[in-house]
Amino acid sequence: MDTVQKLSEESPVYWIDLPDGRSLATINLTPGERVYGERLVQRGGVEYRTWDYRRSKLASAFLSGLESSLVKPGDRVLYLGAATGTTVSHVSDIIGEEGIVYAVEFSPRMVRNLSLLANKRKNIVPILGDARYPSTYSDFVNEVDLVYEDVAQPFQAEIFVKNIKMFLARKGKAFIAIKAKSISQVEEPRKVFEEQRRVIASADITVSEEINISKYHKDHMVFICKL
Amino acid sequence: MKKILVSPLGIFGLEGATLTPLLTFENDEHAAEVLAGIRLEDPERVPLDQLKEILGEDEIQTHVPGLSRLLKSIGLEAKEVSDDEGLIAAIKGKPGLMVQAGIVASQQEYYSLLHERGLLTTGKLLQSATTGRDKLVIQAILFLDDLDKMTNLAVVRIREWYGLHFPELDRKVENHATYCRLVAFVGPRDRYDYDSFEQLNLPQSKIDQLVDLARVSSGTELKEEDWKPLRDLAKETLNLMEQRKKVEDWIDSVMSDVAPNLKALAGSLVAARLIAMAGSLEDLAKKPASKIQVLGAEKALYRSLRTGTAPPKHGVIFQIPLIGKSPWWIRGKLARFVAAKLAIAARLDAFGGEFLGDVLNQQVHDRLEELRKEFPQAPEGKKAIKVFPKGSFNAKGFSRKDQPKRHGHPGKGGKGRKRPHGKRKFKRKK
Ligand SMILES: C[S@@+](CC[C@H](N)C(=O)[O-])C[C@H]1O[C@@H](n2cnc3c(N)ncnc32)[C@H](O)[C@@H]1O
Repeated sequence: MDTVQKLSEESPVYWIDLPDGRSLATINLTPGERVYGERLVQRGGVEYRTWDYRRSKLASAFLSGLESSLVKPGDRVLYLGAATGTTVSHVSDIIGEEGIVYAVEFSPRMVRNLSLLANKRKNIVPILGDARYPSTYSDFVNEVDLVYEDVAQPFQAEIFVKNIKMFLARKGKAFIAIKAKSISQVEEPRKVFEEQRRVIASADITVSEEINISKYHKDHMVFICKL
Repeated sequence: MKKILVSPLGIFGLEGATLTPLLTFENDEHAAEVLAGIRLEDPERVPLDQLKEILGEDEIQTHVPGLSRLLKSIGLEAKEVSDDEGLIAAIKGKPGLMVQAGIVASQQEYYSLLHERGLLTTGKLLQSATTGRDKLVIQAILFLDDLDKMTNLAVVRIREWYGLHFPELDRKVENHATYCRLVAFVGPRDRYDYDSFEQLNLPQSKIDQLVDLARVSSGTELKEEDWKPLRDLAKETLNLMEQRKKVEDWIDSVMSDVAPNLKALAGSLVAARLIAMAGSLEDLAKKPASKIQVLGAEKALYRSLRTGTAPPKHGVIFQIPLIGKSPWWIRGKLARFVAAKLAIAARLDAFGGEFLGDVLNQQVHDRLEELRKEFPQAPEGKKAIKVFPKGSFNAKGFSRKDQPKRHGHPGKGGKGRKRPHGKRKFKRKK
C-alpha cells in the first residue's frame, strides 16, 4: 500500500498515512525546520510537513473538492492576509524554488514572523502593507499567476478586485475565502456570499467555482475566479 | 508628461516599453532605504533633489502614491495613476523589462534581488511602525504604578473604615480584591448569610467561617445608609483593579510589536519597566549589559561606589521569575548572563533586528542548568542575602515598589537585616 499519494498529477500536495490516520502534506522546502508545530514525516528519503486543514482555508478547500492544481511549482502568488505564514509556508513548499509568493500582511507583529520565515525560504517576500491599497506595494509585486485572499474584512471583495486588476496574469486564477460573519453579523451567510459574488462579477471577473468549506470553517465560502 | 516606474532595482522613466534609469540603487541597503522612505513619505530618505534635477518641469505620473506625494511636496506636478495601461503593463512586467534594459542579467537575478531587498525594506518599515510606541508603553507602565498607589491608598482606607464595623475580617481576608468585594456586595454584618455570597465565588469553608465570624463580631453597628459611601469606594477600588488588568493586557500586546525579543526574555512588564528606566528603547539598547543588570538599583549602586560595599547584583531584572526563583548563590551569575542577553535583545528590538527571543531564552535556561550543576549547594560560610520574599510583587497586583520598607529593595542587599513582617516566609525553590 502506498503511504504517500499525490492529490493530483500537476501539484505536489499529498495524502500521507500516519499511525493515527491520514493527513494532507507538502514536501518540506527547508528540511528539519518546522513552521507552526506541524509534524515532520520522513517517507522514502523525503521530508513532508503535515498540513492542518483546521488552520488553513486552502487545505480545507482541497478537502472540499478544489483541484490542487490551483497552485503549481513555479507559480507566482500574491497572498493577501498572510498572518504568521501558516498557509504561506505550504504554498512556499508547493511552488518550490522557481516560484515566488508575495506575503502581504498589515499587522507588524505578524510580519515579523513572516520575515523570519522568509529568511529561510527564498521564495517568500514579506510585505508590510495594506491590501486595500495595492499600488503601495506595486514597487515589489509584479505579475502573478494566483491572487489568494484571506483577510476576513468587510470590504474583502473590493480588495480582491483591485489586486486582481493590478497584478493578475491574463490566464491567472484567484482564490478568495469569505467569512460571512466578518461582513455582516446579522445577514444570513448565503445572502452575504451572493452579495460578494455580485461585487466580484460586476468588475468583469468570472466566478468559476464556489466551494463551501463550512464543514471545516464555520460559515466560510471560497470562490475561484478568473479574468 | 513622464511616467515613472518604481522597482526594487531603481526608479525608472517609462516610454512605451523602454526604461531609462533615473536612480539605480547601488546595493541592497540603498534600495531598502529609498523604498522604505517612499512608503513612509520621508523626504530625508529619498534623494529628491537628484530626482528633481533629472525630471525637470515635466508633469509626472507614477503608480506609487508615496512617490507622487513626495514629488508634489518639492513643487513638481505629480499624479498617482492606478489605471494607466502602460504603467500596469510595466508593473506586471518588471522582471522582463529589467532584463531587457540590461539592469540585471536574468529574471533569476531579479527575483533574488527582489527577495533580499523585500526583506530589508520590510525590516525598515517594521522598525518605523514601532518607533515612538515605546513612549506609550512607558506612560502605561508609570500609570500602572499610579494605579497601584491609588488602589493601595483606597484599600488601606477601606480596611480601616469597614474595620470599625467588622474588625475581625481584616486578618481573615488577606486578598484585597476579595475584601473589597465583601464590602461592596455584602456590606453590613447582618447581611452575611449564604444568599449574599452567591456571586462572590468563595469556597464553602470560607463562607462558613465568615458567617460565623460576623455573628460574634465586636464591631460597631453599620446602618444601611452609613454603608453607602463605603460601598461606593469599594466598588471604585474594584474598578481600579479591573483597570490595572486592562492596562497590563494592553502593554502585553503592544510589547509584542515594540520589543518582542525583550518580551520573550523578561516578560512584558519587566521589559517595559527596563525601557521606562532607560528612557526609551533606543536608550536601553545603547546601554552596556552591566548597566542593564543594575537598572532600578541605582541607589544601591551609588552607595556601593561611595562606601565600597558589595555592588548590587540585580535591579529590576530580579523580577524575572527565572532569576528571582533561582538559588541565591547563583543568582548574581545568572543575572549577569541574563543582562548580557537583554542587551542583545534590546539592540535587536531597537534597530529592526530579527526575532531571536526563543533562542536567547533557551540560552538562559541552559545557563541556569549549567550553574545549578556547577554550584549545587550554597557555599560554606556565606548567608543568603535577603532580597524580598516571594509573592510581594504580584499576588495581589501590587508591585514591590509600594512596600519598600517592609521588604527591602532588590539590590539593596541588606545583609542580615531582619524582616519586620513575620507572616510571610521567604521560600527558596528546590
Ligand atoms: C484569517 S487571517 C489569515 C490566515 C492565513 N491566511 C492562514 O491561513 O495562515 C486574516 C489576516 O489578514 C490580515 N488583514 C486583514 N485586513 C488586512 C488588510 N487590509 N491588508 C493586509 N492584511 C490584512 C489580518 O491581520 C490577519 O492576519
